[in-house]
Amino acid sequence: MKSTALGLGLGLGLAISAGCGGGSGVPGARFANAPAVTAVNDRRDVPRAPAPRQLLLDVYHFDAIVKRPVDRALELDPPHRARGVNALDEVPDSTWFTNRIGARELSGDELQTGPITLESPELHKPWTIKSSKPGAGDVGFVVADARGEKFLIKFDAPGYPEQETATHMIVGKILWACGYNVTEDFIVHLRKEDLVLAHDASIVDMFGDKHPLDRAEVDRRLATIEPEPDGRLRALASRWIAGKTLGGHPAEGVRDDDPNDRIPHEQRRDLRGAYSIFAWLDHVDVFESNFLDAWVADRGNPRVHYLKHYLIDFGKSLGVMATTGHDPRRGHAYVIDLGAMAVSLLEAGLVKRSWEGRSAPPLRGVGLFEAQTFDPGRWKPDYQVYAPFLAADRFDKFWGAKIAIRFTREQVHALVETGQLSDPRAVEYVTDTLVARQRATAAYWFARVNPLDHFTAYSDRLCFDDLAIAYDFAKPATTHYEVTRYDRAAHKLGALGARGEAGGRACVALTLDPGGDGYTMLDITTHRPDFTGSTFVHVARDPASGSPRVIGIWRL
Amino acid sequence: MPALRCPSVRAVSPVVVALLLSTPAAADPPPCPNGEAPPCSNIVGVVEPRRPSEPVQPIPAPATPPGRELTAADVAADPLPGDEGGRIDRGGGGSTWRQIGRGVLYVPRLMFDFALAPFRAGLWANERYQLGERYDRVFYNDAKTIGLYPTLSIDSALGITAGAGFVHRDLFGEHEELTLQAAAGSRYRQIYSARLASGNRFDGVKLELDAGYERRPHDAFYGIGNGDRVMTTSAPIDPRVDSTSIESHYRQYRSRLALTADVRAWRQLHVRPAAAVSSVEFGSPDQGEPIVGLYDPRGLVGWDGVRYGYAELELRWDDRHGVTTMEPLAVYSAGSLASVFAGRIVQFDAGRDFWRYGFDLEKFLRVADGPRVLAARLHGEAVTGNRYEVPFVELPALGGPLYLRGYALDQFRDRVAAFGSLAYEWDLSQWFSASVFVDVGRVYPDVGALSLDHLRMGYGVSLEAHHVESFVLEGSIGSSIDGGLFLNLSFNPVYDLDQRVRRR
Repeated sequence: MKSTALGLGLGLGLAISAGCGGGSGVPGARFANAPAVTAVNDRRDVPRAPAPRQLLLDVYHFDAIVKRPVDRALELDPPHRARGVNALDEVPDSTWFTNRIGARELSGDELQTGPITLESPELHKPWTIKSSKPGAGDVGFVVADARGEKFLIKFDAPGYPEQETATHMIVGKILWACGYNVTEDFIVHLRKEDLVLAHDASIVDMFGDKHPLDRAEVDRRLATIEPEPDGRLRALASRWIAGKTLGGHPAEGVRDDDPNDRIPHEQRRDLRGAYSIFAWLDHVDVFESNFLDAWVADRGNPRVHYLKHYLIDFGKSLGVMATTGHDPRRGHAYVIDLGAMAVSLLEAGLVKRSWEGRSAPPLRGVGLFEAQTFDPGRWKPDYQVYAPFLAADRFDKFWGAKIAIRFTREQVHALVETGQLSDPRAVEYVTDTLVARQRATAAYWFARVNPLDHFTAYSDRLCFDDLAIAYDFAKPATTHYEVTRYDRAAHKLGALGARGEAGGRACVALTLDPGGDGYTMLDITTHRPDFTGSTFVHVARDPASGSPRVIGIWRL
Repeated sequence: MPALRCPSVRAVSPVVVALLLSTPAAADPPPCPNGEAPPCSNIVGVVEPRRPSEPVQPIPAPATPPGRELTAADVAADPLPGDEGGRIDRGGGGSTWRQIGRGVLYVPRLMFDFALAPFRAGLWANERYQLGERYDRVFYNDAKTIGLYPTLSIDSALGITAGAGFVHRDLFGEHEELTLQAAAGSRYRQIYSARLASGNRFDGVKLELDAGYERRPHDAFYGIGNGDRVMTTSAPIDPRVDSTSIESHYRQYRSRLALTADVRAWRQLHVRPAAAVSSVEFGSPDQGEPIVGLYDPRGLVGWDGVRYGYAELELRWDDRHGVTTMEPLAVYSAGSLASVFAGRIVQFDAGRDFWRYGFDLEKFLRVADGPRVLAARLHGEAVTGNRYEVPFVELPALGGPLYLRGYALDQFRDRVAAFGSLAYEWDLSQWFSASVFVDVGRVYPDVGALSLDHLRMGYGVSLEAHHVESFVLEGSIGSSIDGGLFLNLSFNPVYDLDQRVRRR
């Protein structure tokens, strides 16, 4: 009797399911039958330069650490999937991000050149000091080289030769290749006599007041810099960003004075997804000061202006923050980590923390950078302040991991060489560590999101890359795919299966729904011994050619 | 005619669940299109596999031509940010329950923000107007070597004391430092002090001269000896012969002129001579039970006031240090300290002269990263004069944040004090550490009475804040086998030795 009743219920359920889209739990058509967007128009004219943002660091940290977490909890805001992605779950080109590695071939030369568009200032001495470096802290100067090009020069911290300068170069180039806007940086060597003082050279204090900068003060500051064995001073020269600089972008919301800034920053994929990349690079110095917006003139029409968004100051990445800050916790805990402190208090130090046992390799120019204790899912920047990272979900981190894994070892090596580390062993160590962390990052996130990508629809088949197999994180023999087809109303059309292939590229038969534009959704579920995950691929006929094309991807 | 409405997924879900439960085959892999049993072979020839090292080609091709930055004209026809998703479905704005929840929580959120507002406004004003720097501009010279500054201290017994100080950090060009301070908390709570330090004037030798006058309105006295505390007493106690302990209070006016030196003799061995002249007067407290109501004034040696000179020599070996550069300098994780001292007290009025002598030992043992440290302390101090000769405030004392936490400040006094402490410290972050401690000790009438009987034992936890390079403060909660709960806040590390010439 019981089974009969169940059967009746079943029949009713099936009937309802068959008659109504969504009865299977699968949502209906999600994407327009159109090509994916590859660029957005955020270069509309902003005729007047917005006012620079004033960053009050104490208030910024107070808000981020104390006020906003409570406010957010009380706002009951649900987690949001990232915006700023096209139908293929990729980030279109914009003033924030430009698809580079993986989007096109990047030669070793192009990688090493990165954003640089002019000759090194080292070839154009002497340099005229205009002012001291803005802000307090490390020694630095704003200079103009013999061509009149303006640079900010900074030095390594005493006791840590080559660390910050090399790291800034390496990480800047990697971030550029990933797609972000960064400064044009050069490793330079100078002697005191290469610096001449402008007649109006100044020191700007924290009140904005200018005081004359004299030679004695310059010499006093340079005397604190540790010279190279040959007596020269090694420095990093960053080309002054063109346009009017406006400070960093707010971590939450948008710039009210920029009409092109339409997506709240905590919802931007390119910012949220940077988490995986920053984790890979141990770029812990993440807060508003290390981003910079500039009001720039359009390259094609100088009368048009808009904001361009930069990442700046990467010198404390690759474990340098840990060495110069004397803290092996960096990357493993926030500097003010109330949760970790509470746990440590309760554990009474009886439980080993993830950062224990870390030590910097005895190599000149290398910080506390290692892969053994690196956990891509638990990595933390210095402060719990950057809202895009706090909002980032596994899909964002998967996106970042996809970019990180695109660098080959040879490419990583070429990028590390730009740091001009004097010890060849340091170059090999940093390369090996970057590759190990890169693979750990990808392995981690490829096991949390169905790692299928690069879908291509042909007339009779749909092909895709299984990134986990392609990058040797999974074996094809233990992988199989379960494919279920639905029409645009989510009615099930059929199912089939396929197994993993060596190299990761696999194909399945593609039969479009015969009605309309053939809108068909394929739920591709990947099964591995320790993983199951699904991706919906939306395919429809191109109205112009009649051929099938992938019009959208929705990862679950 | 009403439109046919489909049931929601939620409505049919029990049925679907039933379907899944009743048909095991539903969980099986779907059949292969070519009739094979799963796992299926690929039904279409495999495309040439891409090597992992090869860059992949996303679809469609990127918008940016190689090596060229997009211009406004390039993207003029592209969608605006936010419209790039190609979505034809639109998500809702949240469930009704969520909207209701937001409304309910709006007021608590407003209250929370309101409660934070004063503190946040203070931060904002300080940063926006650089108040600290502006203060320095007004009250310090450009080199910040000469200036005026406010002082504020909070003492659990004496309350808030506020005042001002003057400092000159480079008096004669070798970082000689002159400090003048004045502070008051009430008519009876006043501090005036002057201090001159030699800075780098003498190679390997540091000298300090300081003079001070302090009015303390209600210090506590608990008798002499290791007696248990009582709440009442029927007759005045003579503390010289009766160790009954009851809380009482007295006022103290203390004047002092002290000279100390620190000579680095060999490696970590320091020779530290010190000398002081002091004058102390006593009186009735401004609050609390007066001492003369509970104790016989004749038994309080020095109650009519004492004036004395003190000269001391200390030998100190100090190699306490951190083990790695990753540890805060303010945290000792290895090494030890050993100190012995002896000093002579010369009474200017009636009363015999006597010696004070003692030792301190500290040992730090690093047990793990962090650092996690076992720290042990031993302290012993004695005077040669008897209870009829030594002013009651000059008797070695135990109790309080330095020696014997878990008891009131100076709860135990007598001719001999012995104290030991064992603490386990562990890091909470780079800036904070915690510790659990057990302090043990007692006072004795003479050295021959030393024993482990009737020891007092306090215990508790403490929390320390420090910068990378310096100690900030320590708070502790302590109790003892005799009960009570004591909160201590200290701006001096517990492992810093007490300076006898500058005692209260």
